[in-house]
Amino acid sequence: MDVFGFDKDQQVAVVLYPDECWYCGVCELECPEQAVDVRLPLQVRD
Amino acid sequence: MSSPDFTDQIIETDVLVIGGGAGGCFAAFAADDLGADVTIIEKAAIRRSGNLATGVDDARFAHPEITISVEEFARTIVEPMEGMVDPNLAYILARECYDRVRELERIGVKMREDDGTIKRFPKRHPAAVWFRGADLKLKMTDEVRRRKIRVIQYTMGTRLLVDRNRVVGAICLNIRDGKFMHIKAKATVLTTGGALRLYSVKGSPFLHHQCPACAGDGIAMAYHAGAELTGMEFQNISVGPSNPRIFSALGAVMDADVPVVDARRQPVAKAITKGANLAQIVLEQAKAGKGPLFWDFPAISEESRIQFARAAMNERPISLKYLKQEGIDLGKDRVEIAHLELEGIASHTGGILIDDECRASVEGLYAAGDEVALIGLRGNSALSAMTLGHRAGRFAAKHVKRIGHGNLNRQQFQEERQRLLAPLNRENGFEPLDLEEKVRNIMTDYCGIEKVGEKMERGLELLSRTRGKYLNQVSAKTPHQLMRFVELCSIFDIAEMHLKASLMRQESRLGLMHLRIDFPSRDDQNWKKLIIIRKLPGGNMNLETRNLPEKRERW
Repeated sequence: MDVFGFDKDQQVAVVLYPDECWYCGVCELECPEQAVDVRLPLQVRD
Repeated sequence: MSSPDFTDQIIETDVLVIGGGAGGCFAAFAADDLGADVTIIEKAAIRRSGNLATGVDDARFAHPEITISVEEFARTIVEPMEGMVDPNLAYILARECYDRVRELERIGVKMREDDGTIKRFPKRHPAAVWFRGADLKLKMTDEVRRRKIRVIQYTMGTRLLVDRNRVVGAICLNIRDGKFMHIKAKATVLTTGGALRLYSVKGSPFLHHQCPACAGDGIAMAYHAGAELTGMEFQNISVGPSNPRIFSALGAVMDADVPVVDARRQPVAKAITKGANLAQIVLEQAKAGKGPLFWDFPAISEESRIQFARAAMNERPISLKYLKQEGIDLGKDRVEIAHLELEGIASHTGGILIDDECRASVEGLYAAGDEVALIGLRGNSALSAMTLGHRAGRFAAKHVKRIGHGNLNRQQFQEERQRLLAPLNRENGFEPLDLEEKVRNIMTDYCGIEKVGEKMERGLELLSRTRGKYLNQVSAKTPHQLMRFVELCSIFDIAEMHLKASLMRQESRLGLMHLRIDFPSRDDQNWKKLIIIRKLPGGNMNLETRNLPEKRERW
């Protein structure tokens, strides 16, 4: 879904479009540094 | 963002594949096998794009020694569809799925257990097998790279180019750098997935069970190229848990015979073998003022829970983490079943009309996957997409051996230029996603699960008014937003098709896929036929009926 971008000033990956995420968890699977921890948004939790 | 000269780059290829998912990769393999120069364009990163992003846990194929015969499999595809299926395509699918299973094995997908046997799941479907499909997409994209097939990522098709009733290529947009590309192709294969972003979703517009990048761009592109579509009145309904809402492996839930109970833990229904049956039960319970309903996971054996977890790990590994995050222990906790959710156009039932060679009705255009019509068998989406994708690629490659490139239709080119540059040049306009939300609210309020003629007519009126008033006031500040604008245009088109076809079909058919409160019964005498949609040369949307495809061979 291309929700990630890159902050050139901070030199870090950022979530540019969090509202467009479908929480599939692929980013967590793919991150080579295991830096991603996906949590469900409040709207879909009890 | 500056508006570049249109276009920045021109590429020539034999076979253009739009969409790098299951269908697209297999179309590319088949065309490559026949020596065609192939280009795949993919809106995201191909490695994990599409509905196979996190894997798949099952497939269905015919093999007399492993599952069932080709004829039996074809019958299971045709019989439930109440006529809304092409029996010839069903037979082809049944005949050729196993070839794709062998191809999956060749590229390293583990289709068999460690002892070499294939694990069947006859309870889910007589032809269903379970396999370790968590890395399916990775293996497919490894094969794309191994074959050195040209892939252009972060690039979407916006319009097909047509020269004298022949598709001659596409205009494409890079969604990261905003560059436009003209791809000249002797044949084009559409494998962009289904049309999912049609209805409101609780929480966020992208919180679908399936990949929300599938906004129906392929269907819209085919429509504007003059190709015939059918089945656009049929929709998919999904059933899932209310918490966590993101949960896949519905098939695995039913395989594990998880009972459906009410709040007092009384069973609500005996055997629920299909998601469609469960959706019907949820709707009936809600209408009777009953509910909530629960999946009673503690009631099943530990072995069944382990098998369920294995299946979930192959289809959506993160769903188990979400359960843990929410403190849900399937050994102790029931999981509440959510409301029904409309997913959009029924994949493999509504979409682009194709023939036996996966050709659309316009020369030079082929299609496969969730966006084609009259295939049925939704539960086998991945392998069906691969099988028909292969076929589309094969016939596209054969076709291009005989022909050269077409000419550019300059007027169409200029019209597309105007359409895409307009939001870029507009300041302080509406955001594409805000207008998309309005459209999806209209669909939910005026169409929905239980359709009523007068409500749908009002919905059509509102849709038309909304489009007329606001679409040309949308601005796009980034290439990413321009992508959302292009998708928004597709969503408008598909919403209009869905409403018009639903209004035309004055009956109910295929359960909740098309349920009209004002025409609650099936009417085979008047409506056992197709509704064909086509864009006329003057631009109007034409709907007409046509007889069902006839079965050509005895089986």
